[in-house]
This record gives sequence, structure tokens and C-alpha cells, in this order.
Amino acid sequence: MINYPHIIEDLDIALWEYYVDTQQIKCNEKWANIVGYSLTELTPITSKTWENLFHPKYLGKSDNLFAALLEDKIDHYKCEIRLKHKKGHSVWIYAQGRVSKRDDDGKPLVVTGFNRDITEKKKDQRKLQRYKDITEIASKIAKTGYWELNFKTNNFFWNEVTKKIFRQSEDYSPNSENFLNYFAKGVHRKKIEQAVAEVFSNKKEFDLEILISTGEKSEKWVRIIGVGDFKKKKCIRLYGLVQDIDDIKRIRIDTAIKEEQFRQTFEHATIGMALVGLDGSWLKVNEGLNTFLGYSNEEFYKLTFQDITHPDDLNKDLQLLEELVANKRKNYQMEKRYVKKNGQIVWAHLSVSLVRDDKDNPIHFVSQVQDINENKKLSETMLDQNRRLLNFAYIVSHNLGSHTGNLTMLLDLMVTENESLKNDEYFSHLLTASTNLTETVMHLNEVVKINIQSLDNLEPLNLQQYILNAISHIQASITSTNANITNTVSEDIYVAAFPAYLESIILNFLTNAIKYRSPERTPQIKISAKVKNEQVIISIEDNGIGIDLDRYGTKLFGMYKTFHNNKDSRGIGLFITKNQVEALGGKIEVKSELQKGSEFKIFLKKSKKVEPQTEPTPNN
Amino acid sequence: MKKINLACIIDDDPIHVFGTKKIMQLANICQDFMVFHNGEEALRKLSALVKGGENIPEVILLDLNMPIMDGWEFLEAFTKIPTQRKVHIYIVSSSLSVDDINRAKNMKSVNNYIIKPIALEYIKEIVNDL
Repeated sequence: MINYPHIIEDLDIALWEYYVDTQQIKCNEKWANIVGYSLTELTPITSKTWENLFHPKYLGKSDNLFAALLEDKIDHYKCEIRLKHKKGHSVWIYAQGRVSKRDDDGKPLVVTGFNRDITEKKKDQRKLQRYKDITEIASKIAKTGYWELNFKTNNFFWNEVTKKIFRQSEDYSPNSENFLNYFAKGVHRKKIEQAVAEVFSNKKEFDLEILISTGEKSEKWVRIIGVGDFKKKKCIRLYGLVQDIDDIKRIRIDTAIKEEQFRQTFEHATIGMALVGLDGSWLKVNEGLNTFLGYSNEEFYKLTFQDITHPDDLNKDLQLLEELVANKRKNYQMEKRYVKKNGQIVWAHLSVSLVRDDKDNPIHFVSQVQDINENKKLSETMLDQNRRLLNFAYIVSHNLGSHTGNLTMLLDLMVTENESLKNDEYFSHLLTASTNLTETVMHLNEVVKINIQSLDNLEPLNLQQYILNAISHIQASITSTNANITNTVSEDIYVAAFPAYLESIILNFLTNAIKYRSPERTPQIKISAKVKNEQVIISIEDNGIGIDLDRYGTKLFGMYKTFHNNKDSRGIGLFITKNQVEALGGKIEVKSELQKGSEFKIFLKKSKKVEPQTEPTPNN
Repeated sequence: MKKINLACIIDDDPIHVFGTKKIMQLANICQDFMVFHNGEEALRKLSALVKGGENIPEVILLDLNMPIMDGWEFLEAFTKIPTQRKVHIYIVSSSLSVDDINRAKNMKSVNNYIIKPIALEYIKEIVNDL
């Protein structure tokens, strides 16, 4: 060493000698340079200098090794040590040394060694570790595993993620012999077999979406990529990636099925269907629409829906469309008119929804167009007929009214002028006939009046109040028949009705209940009411003679039907009542048994205007 | 009991006219009548009376449905003619239409709406209101 100082200086190696007895250290310039000093700066160098340069964590490790060397427990001192650079950062060295001089007893006198700067290598190592970690994490996150099939060693390697994908435990070792068995039987196994064969013959890579078998009755969709490694034209290794795409694939398959269903519906539906752009242009129309409106596909694609919408219906349509785009509604329906290719105007029921992308941006509309032209014509005819019928009834009742009025008036005058006429049999029959005629016309008027009422001004009426009024109205007959009336109607029920109708309806049912009492029983009449689905259901139950519903059920509410040999029964009551209930948007149901009694249920609308007062419920 | 000096019946139905006259005569409420069979005839004669400063009826019983000029048209035209004293106009119709009844009730010039047939008690009420 002393003989070759220049060689030593030129070497990029730090050298050192440690004198055991004095604990002195001799070293070269390079030794000091590694930690950023010059040799003079550090001189005199002792073991203390050394210790000061050490990162504390590595001091113990080095000390132990050195002690072991001096005790001849080890042959070489070898250690990777972290040191503090003069500038503060860390440097890594590899230090190696051994006993180079001993005394006569063999005790170590000098240890000689070298240090090598391994900072860069160390950095690379750490980087590598980090990369490995990142790769592993990425692999896990991407559900992508690595696999390698070595044909030389017959080793089949799966990394952790691959094992997970195949639903195997961490210590599982895959079987290279029948690796095809890892794929689902049938087409999938054939597919991978073919792909592998192609890699062998054409050096092609494969990239497949394939169903793997992950146990009995358990299958999973994966994407598998395979690359061949060739040596002398022979494939020695097949390796690649496998990615779990089960969720995505199944969603894609589902979507494909749904799309197919939609396509089938779209193409074969008898009603018109169309995809319409945001600007109203026809993007796709089906045959149903072609047939209905008479335009071919090509003609449609040059038009917008605005072009062939009846001008009177366009604004409403556009407004609804706007609300759809503004997300104020999910879909809309309307009846509108289209102009057919031949110029004819037709009625359609249109139903529109909006398709949005995953960012909620509108893409296009889906429209269903149903031909309701016949229905519309029919309902217009019916409306017209209804109007004419009503008009007819009105004229009849009005004209009959004046004639019967005159008849009554004349007969009255005749009696006034000649009292003796009362004893004339002809005259008295004439009087009866006239009275009956007047009554009939009155009833007819009632019915006409009911039918010309508008439902716009229904009033909130307190049911209880009306029932109490009706009861007091017929108090005389209640008393004379000893009838017992149980009224359990709650005070807070309000129905939507016209006062006169409600009065007449309740009175009619109560009167009937008493009128058709059984001579064998004390009349028991129960009145109750409940609210259900915005409806008030009033029940009036009696224990009277009952009605033979099998015989009269269908005629019960007809005009001039009577079912009893009761002398008061006129039959008009129920007919008018039914008309009144229906005019209020309600209905009547009846249950009855001969000689047991009847129950009439009257369904009326609950009033929205007056909400029942709800009292706070006490906390128990 | 008060009496009506001169009553005017405007109606195209002769039986109604006969009956009304008869009732008033029997009850000895009114002796003098003017009868017109449509609004146009009534308007022409009545406006001539007003112009000539002659006696005009205290009470008019007016039908609604009439040929040539109906009750509504008559009302509209007649109420534009200024008269020296108030004429009590009653509509006497067999129309039960709510529209007709409300329309009549909303007219200042109409005293009341009577649904046919007319009876003595209505006439008595009319006299009481005079």
C-alpha cells in the first residue's frame, strides 16, 4: 500500500486501517470525500471521528460486527452503513475489512478495509421497492393479475391478484398441465385453446374477454392478455395479465339485452315510436309511425316534429318539452294533432320522455305516438250527442212545463169559478192526471238540472250538520214510527257537494229507511261515515224489509221502478238521488237482504278546502 | 188591498194570457190589461205610449221565449226608454235554467222571476211590492 500510493489515490475506493491498541484510524482522501470532507479537515482520525459520522441507527450494528471480527468470531467485517454527509444529507457506504496484522499470540493489531459509496445503488433499490409496491397496489386496484407459464420449467406462476381473480387462496399453486381447465367449458375453452395455438404458430399476442371457471358452478368474466416469449423460434414462455371484468361485462350484457328489447319493441310496435333530437328533428322512426303519418323514413329525416304538428297544438307541446329538458318533469303526455303527408289532420296521444347521459345532459327524446283519431272522433260524436240529448231534454221539460202549467192553472181557475166541479168525477180524475203530469215534469226537470250543473263550484259542507238537519226535518215520522237513529258521524268530516243535493240525498235515504221499515220490528237506522282515499263513505243501514237485489238489482236506481207494494213508493227518489250523487262525482253501493234490512253506501268526494282540525295527541 | 191600474202581459201563449187575466180579475186586483204576443209588438206600442205622454202600465209580466223579439231583447230595448214613473217588470217563464234565473236577478230593471204556472199568491206578492 505504501509502495503504491498513487495507485491507491487514483482508485475510486476509500481505504482505511484501524490500529486496535491506539484506536487510531488511517485512511485516504477518498475516504473523507465520501462524506464531503477533505482528509485534513478530519485529521486526527480516531474511532470517535468515525462514530460522529455514523447515522446513529447503524452504529450498534457496525460495532457488534467489529467486535465479532476482533474476537475472531467472523472472518470479515461487512456492513452497509448510513453516514452523515458534511452537507447534511445521507450517504450509503459498503464497508468491508479484515484483520491484516496480528501479534505473536495471534491477537489482532491492525484491521484493513475499504468503503464503497453505494448511495446511488441504495436509492435505486428503494425506488425499485417503491415501484414494486405501487405495481402491486395498482394490480389490486385494477383487479389485474399477472401470470406466467414457463414451458421449460413447467412452472405456472400466478401473483396474488390472479389467485384472487380465480377465487383461490394465497398459497394456491396453479396446475400447469391442464391450464385450459381454468376456463369455462365449451366455447370459452375452445377460444383460449385457439388463441394459445395462434401464439405458438404466429407469435401473435392474444387479448380476449372470456369466461373462466372459478370452481363448481362458478364462472367469471375476465380479460386475459397473453404474450409469447420465443427462443430459436420456439415459445419458451407465455405470460400476461388477467383482469376481472365480471361486473362490467355483466352490465354490458344486460345493457345489450335491454337494447335489443328496446330495438325489438321499437321496430315492431304497432304504435308509432321515434327518437327525436333536442332540436325536434326526427332521428329514428319506426314503421308504425310511417304508417300512421304517411311519411317515409327519408321524408321524416328532413323534417322536425314542429313541421308536422298542428299549429294550435305546437305551443303546448314545446312548453312541455322545455319543462322536460329543465328537469321539471320526467315525461309528459298530451293529445295533439299531426298533419299527415296527404294533408289530413289526425289526433294522436303523444308520450315523451328524455334520455340523458351520465352527466345528466339531455341527448334525445323518445316519443310514442298513438293513433287516437277514431277514439277522438267517437268521443266528439258522443259529446255532441250528449249535448243534443241534454238540449232535447231541456226543451222537452221546458215545453212540457208550460203546457202542464197551463193545465194546472186552468183547472184551478175552473174550480175557483165553479166549486161544484169538485164533485164531478171526470173533473176530479182530470185534476189527478194533471197533478201527476206536473210531478213527472218536475222530476224530469230535476234530472235535467242535475245534468247541467258544473262541478266547479262544489262547496265544503259539514256532513254532521246536514245529517242533523235531515233528522230534525223528519222528526215527525221518526217519532210516529218509534224509529231509533244512531248517528256516529264524526264532526270534522267535510264533503264537496252542492247544499241542495246533499240535503236531498241524505233526506232521501233516511226517508226510505223509515218508509220501508218492517212492520215486525222497531226501525233501527245506523248512520256512519269514514274517510278513505280522498273519499267520504257514508253508510246508512236499516233493519227494514230489504230489497230483492237478485231480482231488482239492475233496476234499483232506474226511473219509476218500485220494489215494494208500499203506497208511497214512487220510484223517482232513488233515481234522482243517484243522479245527484253521480253529478257530485260519487257513487252509491247497496247491500240488502229481504226481511233483514239494507245498507246504502254513498261515496262522495272529501272536501279539499276545509281540512279536518287535528288536535295534538297527548304524549303518554 | 192595493190594485193594479193597468197590467201588461207580454206572452205568445194565449192560454197563459187567458189564465193570468182570469186570476187577476177573479181576485179583483186589476181590471185593465194590455196584451202583446211578442217583444217587438210590445216595444212598438209601449214606446208610442211613452212618447205620447199617455198612461203606461204599472206592471209588466214578461215571457222569455217568444217569436220575433224575445224577452231579453225587449228588456234591453225598453229599459233604454226613459219613463216618468217606475214600471215593475216581472219575468214569467217556464224556463228553469239557472243561467236564465241568474241573468234576470242581475238586472236592476227586473223585479222578480216567476216560474210558470202563475198562481194567485204570486200576483198578490206583486201587488204588495207596488
